Amino acid sequence: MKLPHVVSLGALALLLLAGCPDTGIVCQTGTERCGQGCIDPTSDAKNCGACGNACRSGQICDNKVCKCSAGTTSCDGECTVLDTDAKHCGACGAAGSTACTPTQVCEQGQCRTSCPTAGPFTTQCAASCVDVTTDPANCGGCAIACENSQSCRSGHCSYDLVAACFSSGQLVGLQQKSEFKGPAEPLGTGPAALAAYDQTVLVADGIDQKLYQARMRSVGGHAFARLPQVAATGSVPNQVVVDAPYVYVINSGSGTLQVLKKFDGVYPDGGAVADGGVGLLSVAELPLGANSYPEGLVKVGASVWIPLYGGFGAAGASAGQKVLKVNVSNPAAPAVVTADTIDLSVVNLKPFDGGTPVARPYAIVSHQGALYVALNNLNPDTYVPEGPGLLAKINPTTKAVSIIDLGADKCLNPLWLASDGTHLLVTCGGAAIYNGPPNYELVSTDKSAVVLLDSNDVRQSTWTPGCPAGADGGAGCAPILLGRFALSQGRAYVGDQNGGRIFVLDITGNTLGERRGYSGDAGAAIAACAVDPVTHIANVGDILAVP
Amino acid sequence: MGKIPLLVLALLCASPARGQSAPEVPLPPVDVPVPEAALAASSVTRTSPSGVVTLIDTAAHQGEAKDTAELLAPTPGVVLSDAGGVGQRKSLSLRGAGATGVLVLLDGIPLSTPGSSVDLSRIPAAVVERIEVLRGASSARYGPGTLNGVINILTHRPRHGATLSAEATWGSFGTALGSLCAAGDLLGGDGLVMVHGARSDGDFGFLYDEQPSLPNNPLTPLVRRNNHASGGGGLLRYEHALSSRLSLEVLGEGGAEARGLAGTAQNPTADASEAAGHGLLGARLTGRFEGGGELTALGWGRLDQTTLTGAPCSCSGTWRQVEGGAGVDVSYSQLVFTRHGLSAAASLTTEWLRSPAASRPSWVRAGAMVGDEVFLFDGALAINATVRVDQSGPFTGVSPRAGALLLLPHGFELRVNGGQAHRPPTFLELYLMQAHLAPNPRLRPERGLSADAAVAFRRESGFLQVGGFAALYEDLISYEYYPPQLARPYNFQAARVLGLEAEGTFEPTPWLSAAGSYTLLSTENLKDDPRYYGKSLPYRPRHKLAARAAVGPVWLRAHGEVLWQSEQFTNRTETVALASRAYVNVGLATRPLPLRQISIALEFKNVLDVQSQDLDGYPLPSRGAYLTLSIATSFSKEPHP
Repeated sequence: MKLPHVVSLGALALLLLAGCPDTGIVCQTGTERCGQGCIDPTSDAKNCGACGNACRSGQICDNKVCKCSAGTTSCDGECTVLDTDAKHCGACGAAGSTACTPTQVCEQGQCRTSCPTAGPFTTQCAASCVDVTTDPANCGGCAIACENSQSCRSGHCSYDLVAACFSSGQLVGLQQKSEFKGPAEPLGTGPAALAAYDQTVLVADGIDQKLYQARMRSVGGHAFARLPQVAATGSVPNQVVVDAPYVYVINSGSGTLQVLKKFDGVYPDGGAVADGGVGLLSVAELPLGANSYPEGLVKVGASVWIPLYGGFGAAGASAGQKVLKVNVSNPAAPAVVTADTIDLSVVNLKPFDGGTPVARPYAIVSHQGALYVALNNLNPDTYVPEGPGLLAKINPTTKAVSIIDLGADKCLNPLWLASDGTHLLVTCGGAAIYNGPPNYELVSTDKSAVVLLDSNDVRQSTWTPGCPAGADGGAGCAPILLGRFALSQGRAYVGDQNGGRIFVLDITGNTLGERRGYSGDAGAAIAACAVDPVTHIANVGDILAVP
Repeated sequence: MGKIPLLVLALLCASPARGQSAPEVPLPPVDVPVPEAALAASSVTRTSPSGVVTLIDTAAHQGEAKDTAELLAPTPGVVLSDAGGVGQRKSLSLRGAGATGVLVLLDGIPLSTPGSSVDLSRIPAAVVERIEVLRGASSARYGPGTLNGVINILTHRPRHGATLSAEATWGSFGTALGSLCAAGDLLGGDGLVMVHGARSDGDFGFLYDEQPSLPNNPLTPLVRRNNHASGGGGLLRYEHALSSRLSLEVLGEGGAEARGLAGTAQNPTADASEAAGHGLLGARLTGRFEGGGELTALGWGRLDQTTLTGAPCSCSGTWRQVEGGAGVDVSYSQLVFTRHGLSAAASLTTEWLRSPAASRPSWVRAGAMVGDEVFLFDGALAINATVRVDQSGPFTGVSPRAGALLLLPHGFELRVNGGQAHRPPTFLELYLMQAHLAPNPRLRPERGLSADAAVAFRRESGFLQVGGFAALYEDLISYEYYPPQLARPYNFQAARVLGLEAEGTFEPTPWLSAAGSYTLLSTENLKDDPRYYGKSLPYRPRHKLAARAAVGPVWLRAHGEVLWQSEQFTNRTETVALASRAYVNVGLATRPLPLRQISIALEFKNVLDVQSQDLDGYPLPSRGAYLTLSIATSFSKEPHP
């Protein structure tokens, strides 16, 4: 064969053998293919552990295992509520041994002739006396059962907590009492901030620049079905606050405060508000200035207070480092009260030796009549902590500012804060530590913690996250990067921006104790957001305690 | 007839821009030798035997105050990304491949590490004589980094005899450009020296939407700040026929630039700036053998330095980065067995980068290519096949390619072409921690399979070409969030790109000419989760249209052009988009009869004052006017032998 023919045939052969790329739809992180769809085998009661492996009635799926749901007991292989089940009233005895007679009803584990006329258990459903405001099997009415691990809250089925998985574009619900997790449900692309409006969860999507809505109630095994109502936001919406009928959104990238208002029934253009969602329309958007980068807001009375983080570099940072007061007595016409601007560029940031930090105010909360602002306290160029974690405490009346030092021994880079009425809790992101070349991967954080301040603003307790002890820092334990958290019924649910976990802390008096973590007495941290197999990242962007 | 003149003839005939007179510099590494009979019967370019090429002649745009990016903008398949303003960053994508998938060469010398994008604003139009845009998978000929095309920028060459020319432009937003060029006999050969400079305040006005979530709200007039740019440089070229069979070309090009980095409209950066310098040196030796073979050896070296100050580097003080490369390309071509044009090439390159990051990446790149083009039916049908193997640092790429060119009666041609190409990850993607971007050393190269077909029709008075293309990309690299404040690249997607391209010129008389092009581009993410699956790739407008007409005699000629592109998404979920935009430019040029060495041109850009932006919030310049004065004189008496 001549040489030219070898060349030609070789090229053609290689071209034919090159092969087409692998294509096709890929299930979202934490889910796997099942028929034509994707399922979360860790928490889907219809596909528990594997596609098609359905749990029995009354069971939920917890970590790939079918279990009786919270408040139920297994009797004769069935999950039943002993307080209300007339077949097993008060106890799970042998067949028929604890059954009420056909004319009796079961009320709080006692067989009675009828349901009481006063108290919570006045509604008779079959042979059970139930409280339709709290009974998951009869939520809002007889035989209206809550699915998965949803609770019955004021007669509505809902999770008690909702976590936004930013990287994977999913929402995950949690039941507080059982700490069971519901299946991961897709919602938007990058859910960044959550808020509740009636029975709807509002989801500010940082990538799509939309304010999505999803139904809290699980139907057909799935909660968080996206509703057709969608409102545009500015870029990087970072926090949503509901003060019905208004909704306030802080757009960090656009540097604006956006105000939306609920419209009942029909939009001004005649379109209907469909499917139980909240008809929201933007009624105002207040520019806060170039490079302002507002990251949070709090509404107190007729005012909204907004910390301005400031832009990149020293010059960009100078546009921030303040807290604005915005008059929203008429929410459709918000206006900055310039005279009441709080200047944080003049406060003592207690810089480390050689440090030249700027305040970088991030989150804000109202607590015991004062405003508290988390100050990242970072170098304006490198974003490296150059001072201890600080809070600015602002008297909204006098505008006086005092600085609370959270202690550099425990806390750098405070991010999020919340009040339970008595205590103020703060998450400290710490200083991110990356390994060197060639990988530059996040390996740990230094001075990362949750700090509890008492009513006198004194640090009483800290919780420092940590992987299990071991030479490698704990096999399979991704570095912990604390972010936002929610408080509910004496517990703190703290999101992890790197490993997708939720750590649960007990607040007992002035003490924080780990409940779910790597040393907690109730098990490991809740694996809320699944780790992406490519990036090895799972980011809990926000956590909502459903009111 | 010698091979070089034949190549020149072929190229000139193939060009959609008529009236070109520049001699040809073949695209590296090698052109396939062509039987005389075949070439005589052919009137198509040999630059790419079956690929789709657009040639841009800067002489046709003299006095229009265009930069290199503007010259490329009307080309089918090309989409520009523009930070807005003279001297501000401009890069391009071809046929849906990103800016990092297009290899940009200056006289055959790569202007960046394969897989990196090139800032076209650093290549002043003053040094450019022609631009060749080769579309389609090209790794088989040009090595890695050519996922869907090659841009070869050809600088001015010395002519036989002495010439002196100068050009100066003044215009809006404090813009001034100037160049001075001298050419003549030098050391027994031909030499050319050019110096050029430019400056612009870049302080154009624009309308800004302060309330993006509110429809129909009034826009706020603002002025772009810290958008200035200034720079200067030079070009040196020397050509010498060492003997009747041996010739030498030497190229030197360099410059220095400084510019403010204005940032986005919503969050401008007042203190950010960039200073850069670059130098490039190359020498090509071409020898022709009695048996018809031709050997070309190209040696080159390149150095780029960039210093960032202020916000973009997320560093204290400044960030200085130096990138360099040097290489040797050797190619040989010969006609064998009367109908086979065989070619072979080998290249050896070293590339390195130094930055404040601890990493000091460098790699050696070696490649070898062998190709054959067989001519059938007296050259009416040419079938070519090429295979190239490259080792770029740790990455191996095999790039086969095949194509055919069929010459049909009545001026019709048919081209088909298919191949595989690779883009290795860049040093930045692999190794460098820079600002908010973290590297990922585990990246795999991107791979592209593409095919295209085109029908062309040529007449003395015009040219029309219509074609379609399809490409499949694998392991596309995209940046994703990496906590707490970084982004990191990963291999994610597969994508499909389909498109149509049409371009044509029409010049019925010497005082009337028209040209136009249209691109339809459809992209689709083929491997991803439901959030992204089936969605378009961002920054790829579906439609692009360019039209231009010029009328009048040479002493007073008017022209007008329209550049339109449709809406383009800026994210992967098709939820955020840049609006479509249409720019209209008009101009008038005169060459007074008594003073034919002088030309005066007036150019009005964006005459409709369209308010638009590119990328993620970078406003584009508003209406502007530019006056250009050109002087050229020749002292030549006899042409150089």
